[in-house]
Amino acid sequence: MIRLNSFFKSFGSRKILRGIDLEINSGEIVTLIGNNGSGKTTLLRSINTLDFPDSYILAEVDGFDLEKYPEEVRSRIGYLAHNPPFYPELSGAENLKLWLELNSIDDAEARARDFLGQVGLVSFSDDLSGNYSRGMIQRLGFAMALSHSPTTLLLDEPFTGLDTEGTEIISNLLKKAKDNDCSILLVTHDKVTYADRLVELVRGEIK
Amino acid sequence: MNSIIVLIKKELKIEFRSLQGIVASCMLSFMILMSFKFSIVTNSLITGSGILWASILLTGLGLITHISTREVERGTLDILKLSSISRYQLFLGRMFGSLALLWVLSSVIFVLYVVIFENQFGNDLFLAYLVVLFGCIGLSAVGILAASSATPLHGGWMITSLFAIPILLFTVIEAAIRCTDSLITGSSNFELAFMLLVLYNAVFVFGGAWLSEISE
Repeated sequence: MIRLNSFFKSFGSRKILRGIDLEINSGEIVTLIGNNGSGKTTLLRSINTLDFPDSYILAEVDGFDLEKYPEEVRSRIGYLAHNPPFYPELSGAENLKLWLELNSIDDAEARARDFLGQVGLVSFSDDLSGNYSRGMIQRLGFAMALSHSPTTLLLDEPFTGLDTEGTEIISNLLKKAKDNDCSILLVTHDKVTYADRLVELVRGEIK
Repeated sequence: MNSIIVLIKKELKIEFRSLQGIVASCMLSFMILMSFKFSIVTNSLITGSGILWASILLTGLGLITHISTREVERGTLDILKLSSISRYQLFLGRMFGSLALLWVLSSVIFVLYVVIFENQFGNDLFLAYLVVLFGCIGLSAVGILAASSATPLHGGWMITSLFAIPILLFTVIEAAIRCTDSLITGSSNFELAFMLLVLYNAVFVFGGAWLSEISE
């Protein structure tokens, strides 16, 4: 569950987020749309603690304040960046295993391979991620976002570069996460028919 | 502790698969040592260990900056920051990961130095090597701290060295030079200088971890 109230973020003199009020319940998929530069990615990065807000009245993930309990918040969030970064010298399985080990997940190797199978990358799991195509990187990024069993998913353009099969796989996994009471905030320009709500960000404000 | 070991393994695996930083740093250190060998004719300069530490400082900082810059430019630092480990663990993991590579580099530099400058440490060769390994700890801690502050800035590659060299020169490097010089001259200052080196290392490692934790 995400709860934001009067959430502000600026970079220097440029105000990016201007008093965001947003609540996403467990098991809810919310689609966030907005023009380029409206602050969508900044909002996701501020919730997942990669950036910190300037001020807020309330900013919680599952009841944990973003600034007071950043580690608790991070452990509950699965994040897919617009261009998911990976170590090109490591294979898909090694990248995912590293992520799971950093999150203290037991049996990281088996779990990594299991999630690679779920996103359709099982036959490429030992290939270096530096050789992956854009769509394969996106699938790997999605596996990473899901693999540590987060309660909240923040996804920035999750369908970028995916083929029809990939889009279907990710959509099915999203529906499954929703059924498992995961709160999902989805930044996308595509139409997501299974989303519960659509909110629009206009110049840093929710309309 | 487990996450620190994971980060060390990651750093070693990435570097030894790409060999981008370590090979270039070894070549650079060889060139620095050879330049000193052919350009300095005054014996008193050659009989000191300043040349050894100049080579370790310059190439070591270059290696650490390369590792940190690579992490930031690829965006993979975000992966580490997004995991549920605390910031001090992240600092220690990155520091010890760089330290492992720095130990490999400084071992190569030490061997080259001993060969090119005809082993000046005599029977204290192993002790001198130990000092080199200890000196790398402070270098790695300050290097990672400086790189963390500088790499997001424009021209961060240069700024890292500008931050780190003055701090290291008058602390870790000075104590390390005193240690190795005392082994060459056989003076009794070794223990005091070594204690000073250990103290500087402890300050930089714990200080770096503390600063990383409060920076969040």
